Amino acid sequence: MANLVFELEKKFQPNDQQAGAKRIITKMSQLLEEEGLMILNPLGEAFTETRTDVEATIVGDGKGKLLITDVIKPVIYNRQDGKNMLVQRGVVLAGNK
Amino acid sequence: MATINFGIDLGTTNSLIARANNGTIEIFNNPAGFKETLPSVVAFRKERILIGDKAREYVEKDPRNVFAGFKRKMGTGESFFVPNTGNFITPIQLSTLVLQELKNFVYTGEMPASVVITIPASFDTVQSNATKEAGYAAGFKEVVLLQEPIAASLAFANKASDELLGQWLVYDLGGGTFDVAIIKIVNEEMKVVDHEGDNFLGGLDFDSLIVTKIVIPYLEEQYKVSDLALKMQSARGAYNKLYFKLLYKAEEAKITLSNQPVADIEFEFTDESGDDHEVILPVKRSQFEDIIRDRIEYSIDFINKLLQQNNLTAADMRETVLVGGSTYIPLVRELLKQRLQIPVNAGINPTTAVAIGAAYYAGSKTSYVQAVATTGGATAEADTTGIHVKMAYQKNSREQDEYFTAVIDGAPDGGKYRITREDGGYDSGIKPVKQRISEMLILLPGTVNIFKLKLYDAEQKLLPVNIADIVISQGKFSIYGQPLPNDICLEVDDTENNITQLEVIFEKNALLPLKKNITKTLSRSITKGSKDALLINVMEGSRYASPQSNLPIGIIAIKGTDLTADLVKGCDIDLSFEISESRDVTITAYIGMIDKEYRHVFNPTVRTVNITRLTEEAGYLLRVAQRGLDEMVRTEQYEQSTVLHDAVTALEEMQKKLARLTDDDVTDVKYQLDDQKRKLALIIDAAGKDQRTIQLKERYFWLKHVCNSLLAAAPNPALARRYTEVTANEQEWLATGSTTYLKRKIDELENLNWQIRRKDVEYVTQLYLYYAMKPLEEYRDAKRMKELRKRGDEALERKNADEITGIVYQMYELLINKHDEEPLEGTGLRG
Repeated sequence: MANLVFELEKKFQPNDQQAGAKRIITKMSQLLEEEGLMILNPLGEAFTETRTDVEATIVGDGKGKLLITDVIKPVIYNRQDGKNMLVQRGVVLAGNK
Repeated sequence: MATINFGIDLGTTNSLIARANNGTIEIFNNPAGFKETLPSVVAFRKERILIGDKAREYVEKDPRNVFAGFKRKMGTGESFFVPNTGNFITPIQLSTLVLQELKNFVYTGEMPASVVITIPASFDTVQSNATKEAGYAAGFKEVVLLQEPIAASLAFANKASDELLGQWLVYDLGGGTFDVAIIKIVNEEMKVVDHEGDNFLGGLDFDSLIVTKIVIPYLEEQYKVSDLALKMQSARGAYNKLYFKLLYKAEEAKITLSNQPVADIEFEFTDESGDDHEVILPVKRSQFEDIIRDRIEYSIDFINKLLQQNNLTAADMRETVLVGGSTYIPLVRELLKQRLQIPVNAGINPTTAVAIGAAYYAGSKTSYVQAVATTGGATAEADTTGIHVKMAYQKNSREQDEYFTAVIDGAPDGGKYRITREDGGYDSGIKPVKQRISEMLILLPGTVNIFKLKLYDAEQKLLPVNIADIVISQGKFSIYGQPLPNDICLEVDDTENNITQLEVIFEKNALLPLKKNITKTLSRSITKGSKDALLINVMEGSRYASPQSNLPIGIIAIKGTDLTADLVKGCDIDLSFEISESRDVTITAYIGMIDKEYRHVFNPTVRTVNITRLTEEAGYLLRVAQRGLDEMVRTEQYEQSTVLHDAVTALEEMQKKLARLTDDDVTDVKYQLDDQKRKLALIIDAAGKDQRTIQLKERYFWLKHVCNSLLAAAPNPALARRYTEVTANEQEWLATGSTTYLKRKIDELENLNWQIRRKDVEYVTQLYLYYAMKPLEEYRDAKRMKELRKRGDEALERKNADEITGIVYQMYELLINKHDEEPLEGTGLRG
């Protein structure tokens, strides 16, 4: 469900005309958050070899400073008893800007 | 005598660790990412060793420093040069690193001393011994080997109700490799008769085929792009990024096609003219089967070859046991059945079958060494290493990462360290320890990040050093954040008790900035054009106090005259509340029914007083004060009653002033009246409070006792949970002395009490009799009442509690004088 909501969010982002649909998507996200899920979109963040929250395919020569250039699936944490647990690694493409 | 219990599938592509526990098997998940599988890949990145998923990411980009598939080289004299370290590494050392990594999956605190490790059927003595050596080097004191096809067969045998008899095939088609083995029971023991395989056949090939045989031809034809395969598969090709994305999508589609006849591959595609297209390409199972059929046929040829060289036929085999993720593909199962004409056994998860079988075996195998229990990162034995660790880092951070450094004295030569984040989102990899180490720790936003630093000796065995956790608060937990001095609440209606109450939005001491979204429903209809209004009233103060004594900090009034259509009771209102660090309060209300959004930013330097609301509150306070006054007079508390008498007079006076005020009054009278109202609310709340509190507490504890007894007599887990929720933090809120809150809790307990008892036929019968015996004159509709009595009497005979309850509700609704008080104006928001 979290992945589907993320997909929908991605689809509506560029289109500001769809305020009603976006509102419903935001509400769905909030419901998931209330259930303890933290859904993160790491797009544009630095990619390093120490990040175990994402599963990356490195595009290009993989040299120099790498950024997350595309997010196929978001990073999802579940919060229970005050503790966060990574329940889904983000599936991303990483490369040079 | 203890048993070994731990089993490891040390695979060519992926490895797993499992544990037997009195007949059940638990597979341990990777603490980084929580997957069951660990890719058997090791990467040497500058000064860091990465193992598993992170290492696999660099397979293509840094192949000279990343090692996969080394299992095939076990027992050979071959070693690999690692440019980044300048040293050679052997397959045994690489396997050791994988095995050590798997030990980290064991969250139970046990340090397994004995283990069963699986090996391919093709492993000779040297290769087997090499695997054992890797096990010992990884810190196991006892290593027992088990052949993979036997392990898989054990997993099936322990799950199946029928015993495995005679001979059978184990068909193992994984992500990248294929193996087939003939297993036979000889002298009550399973034995691998023979085996065959191909190291370059598996699921990855199928993903690639979907992209090259289905997606690329479609795109070429649809968008007139030529040589798309080249443009995708070349590292510098314009569509190289899309290729990797499509491989992932193809894998998803492949999995879907195992259960569905069609899978959609969705992606965005920019053609060579720069036009964007949203592509939804349906792939039929039949299409997928057409492109992989050759490869599956090829794998079955191996089986025939294997049977032939053992002078056997398929008919000699009892069944084909499936192992490996790619055996989920229906065509694999179909073709196997069709071509071999023997049953296919797919009774267990093919990905974990080998590890499960290894654990079963370990659970039955006696261990000659003892496992060591550990606490946290270090062993339970005393810290005798003489290693001292001094750490320095910023405990609060607003950055995405934070610099960490530590001075480590007394670390052994060749020692290593590793830092991991507790939630699984960060892993430094294994790095050589120096006297001073430093690391950029990546932080999860808006939360407390806990990292663990562990030290290892040169053989990568964990050193029993007691090291405190590294705790860094990111974002709003920063010491720079400003805490809220009071609760921020929303005023809502309690229609049952005819009052309004506070619902907390942000708790006292929460750190700014804050944002919260909630959805409420309308407690009454608001007619278009009427003077009625929906009030979204945000207040600052104690959530336990009455709304009237709290400070209003922002209110939106949606009046009937502003509406384009009626608002119907029960419709949803989405509310969003934001408080910035500079304490601006933003309230947004969206009513879906009329598709309209109301938004207002309230600056705390400007007080907002809504005259409609103030008038209602004054009226409510007057009623409460009058009731209190009457009660005091009745109980002859004349001295205390003077306070309430004065309050009643003041409120009557206030009502007169309010009646003269217009909505757009520009004087400061409304502010004065609002101040006066809050003071009066406090006075009324305090008058006779002690006695009232005692009475309410008595009622509260009595209801608690009743609920407890009822739940003990008829246990109900859901209602017992609700009871715990209602009575949670009791000491805390009882200490506030809030009668309003105490009343709310009493209501909740009464409601719970009813929920428990509504299933009790005896209880609902008594209730029914109470209403049924009332004179008909007390009901609005005598004829209807007679019908209800008739139906009720029948329901009594059937002893159906739900039916009786339903009739009681209907009778109650017919009562003429059921509401003693005037209807609540309130906010219009249901509490």
